[in-house]
Amino acid sequence: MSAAIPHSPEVGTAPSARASDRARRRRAALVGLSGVLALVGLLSLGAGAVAIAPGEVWAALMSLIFGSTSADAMHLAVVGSIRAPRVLFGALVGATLGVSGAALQGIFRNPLADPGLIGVSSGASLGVACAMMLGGSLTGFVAGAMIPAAGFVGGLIATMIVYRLATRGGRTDVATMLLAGIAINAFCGAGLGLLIYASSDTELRDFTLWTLGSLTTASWKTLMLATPVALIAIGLLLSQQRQLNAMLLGESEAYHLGIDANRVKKRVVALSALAVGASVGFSGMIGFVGLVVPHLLRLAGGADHRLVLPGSALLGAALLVGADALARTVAAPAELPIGVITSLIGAPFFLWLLTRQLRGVR
Amino acid sequence: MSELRAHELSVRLGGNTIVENISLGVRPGEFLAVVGPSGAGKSTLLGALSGELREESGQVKLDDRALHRWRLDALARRRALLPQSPALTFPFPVIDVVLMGRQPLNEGRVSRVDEVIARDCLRLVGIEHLAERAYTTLSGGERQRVHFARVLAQVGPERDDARYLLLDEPTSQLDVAHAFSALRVAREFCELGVGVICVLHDLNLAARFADTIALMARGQLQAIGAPHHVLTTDLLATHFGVDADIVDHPRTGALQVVVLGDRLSFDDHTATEATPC
Repeated sequence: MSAAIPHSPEVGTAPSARASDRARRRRAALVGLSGVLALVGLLSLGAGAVAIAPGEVWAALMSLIFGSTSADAMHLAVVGSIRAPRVLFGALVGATLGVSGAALQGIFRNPLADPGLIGVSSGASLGVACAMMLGGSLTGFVAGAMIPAAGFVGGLIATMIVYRLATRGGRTDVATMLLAGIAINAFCGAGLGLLIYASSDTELRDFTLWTLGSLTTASWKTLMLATPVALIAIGLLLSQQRQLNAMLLGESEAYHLGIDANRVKKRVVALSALAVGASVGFSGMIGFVGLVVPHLLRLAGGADHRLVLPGSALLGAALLVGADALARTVAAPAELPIGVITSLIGAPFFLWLLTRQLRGVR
Repeated sequence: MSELRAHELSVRLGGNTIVENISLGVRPGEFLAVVGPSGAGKSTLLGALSGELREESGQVKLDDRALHRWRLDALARRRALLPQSPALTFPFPVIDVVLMGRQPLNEGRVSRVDEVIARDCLRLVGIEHLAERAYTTLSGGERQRVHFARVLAQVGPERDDARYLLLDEPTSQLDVAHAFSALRVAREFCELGVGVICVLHDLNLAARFADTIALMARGQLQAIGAPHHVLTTDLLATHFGVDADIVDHPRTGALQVVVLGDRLSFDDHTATEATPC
């Protein structure tokens, strides 16, 4: 510590600008993840009760997009009207879960945070249950739109309550927020129990299947409903990279760096409720994606949100599309609920991560 | 001329008045040390001077404008605060932590100049060799120096506008050599036109590096002025409860506080004086 303070740095003598190297590496990682997503998507389009070879999938896609007629008509129908919307929808749900998980972990400065923790998921499921039980007589488009809308409203209400409880004098206490989340989760669970107790057998089965999570509802119509909301929420969450990085330093530190931590928290919580509420409404409860995906990225590439946020969107999408392909093939022609697959793989994997961390391996 | 100043400032936290009716300030190029017993309200004063804590009454002004009327990002370009215990628990590379200090200046687009300055700041605090290490693998003292480098980068050695550095016990985790050099670096920034306000427990470091010392106790300003004016046997006895000798060091010329006894031995001492037998 004997060096004098430089008045004007000599840019020419830079010890190789390593910040730009790291930016290049981040871009390369994101391009790689996009490639993985595209590959998984292609494979998933071919997988299922009717197996279609990758070449045929490609031909069907080309004819879907460009209108050429080289593809087999049945393949075209399967890919075009069933699997393509399903893969796209899976990617959308996976991306929302991944990116909201990453952003929530960022604002809570807690790598164990998850949309499930602050009441988004349980609020959404209570909303959906109400919609299913009360609106059972509705059919068609109204019924199709009502379930996700109920999921979103339920998720948002639960999150707002949690948020209000944890906010005093304009400041939000993260520990209180997590505790309030536990209470709200318990309350929503009790509400669900009451509804289930009062429900008929068909309602019960519908709802149970929904809580297990499934992409079977995916169609071009659900995509039209879910995509705009989810994409806007994802885009806005992705724009918070710099703010979330600063918040990892601590809320006062973020404040001193010119970032209004409370505003960032509000924004992230509302956007996550929006994204997760809307997608959970369509897909049902899909666990562990929001928790495990950001964790994996941090493990591989560090905590920088410039990598973790977009990376979680891409990896979450790839994982869910892959899990859905698995759900369609392992018990073909029957289908496993995708939530069962993600939890079945995600839970032990997460425990493995946890014990690794406890042993101090990084 | 630029100035960061508290006017009759009072701050309440959780129903208690922590800072009461304090007026003080610094200009660019001045070094103010804030000393006082634990719980005197020094960190709270610093929080209010940074704009993070709102005042109950009175106000804090930067350049004659109340802090709460500044935009946060504009404020971040004018002052940096080194916290006592940073909360980072994620494995960022050290250089990226320091580069976060440049965020208010570069809006997230890291330039070559930012990188050079970040590395210079790491060199100033003596840990340039740790630049690529993960923050979470560092010791407490190393972490403190990473954040010191971060606020130095935020204040910017290359800039020449009026700006302020608020340091909350920057030496709390440092050994004697690093504590000395941290304050020497702060003093050098001061010479470059940065106004420094530094909460310190080490009275000798305060005497050595500060132009002005403010003595706080029980939320109030008890004395403020040049070191020889504030570091007196009487004031130290009243507010710290120590029996101390204050001498001029023969080689540095700075005041030297030598503690002879604490409150208990001090009481004994006065007791024996009062009743000689």
